[in-house]
Amino acid sequence: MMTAMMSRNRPKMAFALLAGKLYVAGAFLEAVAAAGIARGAARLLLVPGDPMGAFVLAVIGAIFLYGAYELRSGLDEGVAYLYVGIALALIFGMIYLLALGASAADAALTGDVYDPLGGMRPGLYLAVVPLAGGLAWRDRFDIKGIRL
Amino acid sequence: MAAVERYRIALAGNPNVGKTTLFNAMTGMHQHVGNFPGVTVERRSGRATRDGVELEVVDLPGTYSLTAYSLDEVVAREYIVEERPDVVVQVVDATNLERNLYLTTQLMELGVRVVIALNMADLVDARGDFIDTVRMREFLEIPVVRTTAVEGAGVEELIATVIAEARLGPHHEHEIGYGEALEVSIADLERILARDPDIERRYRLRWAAVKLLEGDERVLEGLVGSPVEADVRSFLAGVDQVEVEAIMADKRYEAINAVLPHVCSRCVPRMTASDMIDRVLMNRYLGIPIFLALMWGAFELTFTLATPFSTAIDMGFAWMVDAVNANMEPAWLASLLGDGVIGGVGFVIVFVPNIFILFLLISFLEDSGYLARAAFIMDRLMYKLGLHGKSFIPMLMGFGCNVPAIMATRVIEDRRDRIISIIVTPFISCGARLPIYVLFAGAFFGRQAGAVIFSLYVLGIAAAVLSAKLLRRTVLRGRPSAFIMELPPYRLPTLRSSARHMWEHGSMYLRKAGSVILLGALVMWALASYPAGVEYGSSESYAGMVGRAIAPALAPLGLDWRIAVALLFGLVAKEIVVSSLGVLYGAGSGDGASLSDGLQADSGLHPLNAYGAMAFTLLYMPCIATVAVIRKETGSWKWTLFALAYGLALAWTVAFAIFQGGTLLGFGR
Ligand SMILES: Nc1nc2c(ncn2[C@@H]2O[C@H](COP(=O)(O)OP(=O)(O)OP(=O)(O)O)[C@@H](O)[C@H]2O)c(=O)[nH]1
Repeated sequence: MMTAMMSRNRPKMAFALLAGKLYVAGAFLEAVAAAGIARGAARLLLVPGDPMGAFVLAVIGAIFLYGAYELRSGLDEGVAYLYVGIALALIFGMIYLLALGASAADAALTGDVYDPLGGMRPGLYLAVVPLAGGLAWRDRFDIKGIRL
Repeated sequence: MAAVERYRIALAGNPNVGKTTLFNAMTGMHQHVGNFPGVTVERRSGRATRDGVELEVVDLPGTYSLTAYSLDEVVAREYIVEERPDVVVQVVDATNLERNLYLTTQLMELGVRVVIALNMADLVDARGDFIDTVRMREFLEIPVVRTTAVEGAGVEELIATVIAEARLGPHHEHEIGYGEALEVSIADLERILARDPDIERRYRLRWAAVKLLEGDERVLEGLVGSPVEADVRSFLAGVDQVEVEAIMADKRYEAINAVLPHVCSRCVPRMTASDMIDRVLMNRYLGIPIFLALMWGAFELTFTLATPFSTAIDMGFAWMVDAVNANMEPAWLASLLGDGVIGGVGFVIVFVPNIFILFLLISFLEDSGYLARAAFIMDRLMYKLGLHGKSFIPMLMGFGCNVPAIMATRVIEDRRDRIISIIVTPFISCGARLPIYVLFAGAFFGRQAGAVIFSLYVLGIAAAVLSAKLLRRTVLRGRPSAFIMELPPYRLPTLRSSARHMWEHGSMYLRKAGSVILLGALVMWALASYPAGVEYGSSESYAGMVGRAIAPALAPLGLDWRIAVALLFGLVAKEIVVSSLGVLYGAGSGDGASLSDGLQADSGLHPLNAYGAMAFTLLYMPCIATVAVIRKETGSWKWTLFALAYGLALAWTVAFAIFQGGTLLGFGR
């Protein structure tokens, strides 16, 4: 029974681990860039130096990793961390997307040149990963009744 | 021989949870059986001695609740209220936590020291369950000891914990909250009861108030002959006690059901979404970081999303100023309309999108049930910092407007707790201060604007919290009382109700723009234009004279006379800081340049002193409406003046530290 439960949770655990590592790596790069180290490489990866952005990524990453840890220890409730991590990652992805749209609209109004890559950041493009997870497990996210 | 250390212990619990077995295990052979006074309910008492400490243990009748519906309940309750045992040990059947914890919530309310004996631990283990006693203690603020009474297991640890608890001075407590409306009734009733010192001596006021609202006849009988009896009766006449009793029972179960999934793996048959979300958002280590991240996200969105709307409004006003300047005769009228009305009010309207978005996001967080969780997460920290847990919600409301926030401190019964909250609430950055941050941060910090604004909110919170600690240590000594916890289930906020909240608060801001702010802008315009013949907004104008008079006080902060005048007028309403700057800088240039361009061009401001100016605006003095409500709610000019002087001193010190410290570190220009 125990092994059946663990194999059922294996894909979720692997996913949480992957998402967690990606977000923590993103947080690390953003923090490093914020400290002024390796700016060029960071810019290549579309990582701005933003301490608060790094903090947010680190929090989301920690949630995923904690979920992976609980799932690995056979605790079924670890999925809560996976789902809530996905939800938070998407919320922040949405915040950055809205910001991107808003600055495009602003540029259109003022006639300034608009650089879409300038608004790119790990919090936005990394959200593709949780988005895929959210779609894969979308039957667990019931919007109206908050069901998860 | 030294005086013996003696404590009186009562064993309470639901029927059949193993109280008698535990009582025997604790007291051994030293027992005495009699009756409780006046009734034929058996009273067993016994003695236990450990390391020279003597415990007198009384076994109370088993009850599910502490209402006055059965003789057993009355006996148990009277014993606790009248005899005031040093510690009440609640024996809990660990295999049936939900029902047993209902009694716990009532014991918490009685204000006695409680220790939970989590009995039948053997049965819990046998069915493969796990109960997290550490987490349980964190949620209830009650020590929890696992026992298996039939085997005598855990009994020594229980006795040691009881002794430690009896020795401990007053400490943090949690209680169940009953929702805003009932909490106000409870506090009002407590204030009536407090007028009779005799009642205050006999009962814990919150408990008595709750019981009276629930329609408890025994407590009401206890008031016969008291000078406040008539007032209490007339207060209760307006209360539907049957309904209140039902609501209160619901709230107790709501809190229990929010706690259970955190402490016990099998207590809930299936975790609901609410439980799952809670596991993460209230995680011991991740809870506070998640809260900070969400707050930061809210402010980031407040700033970025509003930008195109603000730009559009700004462009519209700039166009109007140009049109007025080009076509309007005579020149003074053009200046009045262009510089005064449009410059002053327009530049405030520009920030309406920010304010609307902030309110929308705050009501999202509130309606979803998250803010109540945030209060809980922050409570321990708040307690350590000397703030009353209840003051967290008023402080959160303060993000909208300080006036209702200060009024909301009415739910805090203790006068000292309340005055502390009132004094520190104005440091919480209200919506009216947002335009100033948006303006300055946008002009001087570019892409970091969101983070800068967030940091100001954090600064406000830090100022409030540290001030509370300082006040608690000095002029308002004492201990904060229990935290009232409410843990409603999560709900998806509806756009409709959030939009309504947003409109209620946002429209207030618009009305203000049409009245106080317009008036302030006109006065500012007049001061900037006269005496006749001076260059508009120059240092020879009246505004300049006023500004130069107070500028020396602000010079150490790196701020010039124009900022000084704006800050002075900002006392009326903080938005006026922006509108004054609009009058002085923005429209004055006449070529339709935006206010932030004007500021960058010639205010002598750069990121460092701009940040200092924002910090100063945040802390220096609440607006007139807030001062009035402080006076009203403290009922004292002394405390009002103290709050003002304290705020001003703090603001100056902080801005000074930012500017001078930053300059030393090489951040100056
Ligand atoms: N398995 C197990 N059984 C227990 C434990 N403690 C008590 N019991 C049993 O539970 C039953 C009730 O115990 P009592 O001590 O009579 O309970 P009580 O709370 O005093 O009951 P009332 O006096 O009716 O309120 C007895 O059969 C005890 O043997 C325990 O820790 N584990």
